Order: sequence, then structure tokens, then C-alpha cells
Amino acid sequence: MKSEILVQCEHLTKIFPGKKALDDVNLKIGRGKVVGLLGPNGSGKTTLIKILNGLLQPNFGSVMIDATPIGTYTKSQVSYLPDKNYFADWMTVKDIFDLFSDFYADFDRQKALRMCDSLGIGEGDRIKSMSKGTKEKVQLILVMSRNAQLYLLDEPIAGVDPAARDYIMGTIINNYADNATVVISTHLIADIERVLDEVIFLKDGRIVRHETVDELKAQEGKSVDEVFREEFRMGEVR
Amino acid sequence: MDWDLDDSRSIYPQLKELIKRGIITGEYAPGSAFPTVRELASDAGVNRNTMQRAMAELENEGLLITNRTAGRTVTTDLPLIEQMRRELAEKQVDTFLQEMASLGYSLQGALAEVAARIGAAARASSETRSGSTVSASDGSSADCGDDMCHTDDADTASTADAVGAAEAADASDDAEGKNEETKGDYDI
Repeated sequence: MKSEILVQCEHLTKIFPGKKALDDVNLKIGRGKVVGLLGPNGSGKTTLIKILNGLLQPNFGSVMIDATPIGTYTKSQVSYLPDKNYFADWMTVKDIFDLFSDFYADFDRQKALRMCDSLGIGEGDRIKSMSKGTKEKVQLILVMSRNAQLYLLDEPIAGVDPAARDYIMGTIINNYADNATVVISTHLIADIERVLDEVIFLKDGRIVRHETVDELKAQEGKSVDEVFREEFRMGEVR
Repeated sequence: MDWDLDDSRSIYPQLKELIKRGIITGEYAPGSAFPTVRELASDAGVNRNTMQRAMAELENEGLLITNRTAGRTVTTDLPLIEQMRRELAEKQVDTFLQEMASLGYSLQGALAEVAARIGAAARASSETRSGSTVSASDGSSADCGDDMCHTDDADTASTADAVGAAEAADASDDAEGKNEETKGDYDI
């Protein structure tokens, strides 16, 4: 029987020269949840995500995913959408699919093909010829076509138009496995709050709130977006 | 199904209400197959757990039935559906009376407004039967829902308060042209 806890961080601290990006973060995330990692720019969202997928090492503290320290096993269980496009312009969709098939045993190529097909994207299409929105969609399709336990999506809807946002949110909620957890970092809360089970508010590298959306609404009688705006408006007054 | 949700409140009770309404209005017919959690969550643009919770409660209330092999179906218990309809209707009446009270109406005053409306509706339906145009009723059916339920509009409130019953009777005359079809059709 697997533990109910999928992600566990204890006293997690990350210091960059001149800045504490994460400051004693303690966090437990369960399985089968959609979690919003919310905070303004510079609050530590991307740093936390990069530590969870092993791209950054913390200065202090520990991280476990599926009761295992970050390493080869956890990387095989985590599907990560970076906040930047990392495919080379000369690549075709087929090249990227090959790359993903090589790297990830859990990559479902047929599923990715079907999703691309429904967008009118063929295997021969080149990254170079795609619009920014289409590139983001392709990247998301790849990430959601993995059969992972944890999806870490860093700003999946930033910089795309509202129609593309709807497509992206639909793709996310329709494609994660039943027991998998999805962590979505964003500052565009109104667009995603309906799909969230839980929210984590990050402020200056610290967790200032972590609760279920229902608890938050019962307490505050407001949408997550409104609570967020209030929390971080007060933060601006020093 | 039109998923009109209010983000300032918890989502799953709202889903529950909307599905219940769908069952009562026959959008989900008694005994018919009910969509899966995944399908419905996707349709509503909400999280699966949220939809799961709403559907689990509807199962507990007996409106949805889970069969081990055939998936979920809508109940065939018509008296139960009728009872749910009554409960929703009672809530509507409560809302109406509260809104009227906030406009300064007594219970009798509120009932008098309803009586005036019934008179207008009766006249309208006799006109419809005598062959007057139906086109007028199309436009006014939406107004009707608004008059009955969404009286949270502060401007309308103060006006109605000031002019009293005489003008309100005029207002109900505006409802002429409504035919019987619109009667059971008030929206939340």
C-alpha cells in the first residue's frame, strides 16, 4: 500500500546570492489532487518546482517524492512542464516524440499523436513553423502524455490567449491519471481556480497558506483570486 | 448543461444543485445513463474530485444509482424526483419572499403581487387562445425569470419601493403576452 503522501518537504531552504528563494518550506501534498502553487513573480514557485524535479539542489532540508529522495526513480515519476520552450527550432514533432520515447518509459506516443492530430498538427510539422501558442500546446501534450505520478506544470497558461488557455486547462484536467497529482504554478488564478483541490500561497519564499479550496472559500466567502489579490496587496505595503 | 458557477462559493454544492435541476427538468431523464465523473468534470471545467463529491452526495440522496456493470443511471423513483422538485420550489418561494420583504413588502403585499400576476397571466393565456401573436411571449419569458428571482438590483428595488402597489400592478401588466408554457420555467 502506497503512502497517502506523494510529496514531502521538510525545512526546505534555497539561497541564491543575495536572496533566500525558499525559506524553511514544510509541505505535504497528497495523491490524486490538483494543487495550485500561487504567488507573485519572485515568490519561489519556480525554485520549488525545480527542486522537486531535481534541477536544483536545496541548501538545507529534505524532499521526498513517493517516499524516495530525489533521484533517478523520482525523475521517472515526475512529468515536468518548464516555463520556457526548450525544443530546438529545427525539430519536427516526430523528433520530439522520439526524444520523449527514448527518455521516458511511460510516454504514451499514441495518446500524444491523437492529441496533436485533434489540433491539426502532424508528425512532420516543424517547431519553427508553429505559433507561440501552438508550441506551448505541443509541449503540454508531451508532458500530459506521460503516465506519471506527479505533474509539475510551471506557468502553463502564461502568455497565451484565452482560447488557448481553455484548451490547455481542458487538456490538463482530462489527461492526468486517477491517482496522480498535478501541481500548477501560476499567477493567473481566475483562469484555473475551478480545477483546483488545494492552494499553496508562496510569499517571499515562505508558505503563507496551504489549504483546500473549499476550506478557503468557507473561511473567506470569496474566490481564490480575490483572496490572493488581498493577500498580496497587503504584501506590497512595507 | 450550462454550468453557471460562482467562484466565491464552494463549487461542489453548486454542481449538485445544477445536476439535481437537470434531473428534475428531465435533461437527465429517469433511468437514463448518466455521464462519468471524468466526462462531466471535463464538461463543467472542474476538477474530478469536486465532481466526484457532488455525484457521491446525489447517490446518497438516491437521485443517481451506481450499477456495478452498467455505470451510473438516473433514478427511476419518480416520487423522489417530485419531492426534489418541491424542495427546490420551496427554496424559490423562500427566496422570493425574502426579496419581497427586503423591498418592504409584507407577506400579504407579496401575495397580492403574485395574485395580480396570475390575473395577468390568465388574461394573456385567454388572448393567446383567441389567436393573438405568440412572438411577444418569447421576449418576456426571460424577463419573467428576472422579475421573480433576481430582485437584487438596488435601483429597481428603490423604485418599486417608492411607487407602491399601483405601479406594481402596471408592471405586472407588462407581463401580458406570457403564455402558460412559461409558468413552470422560472430560472434561478
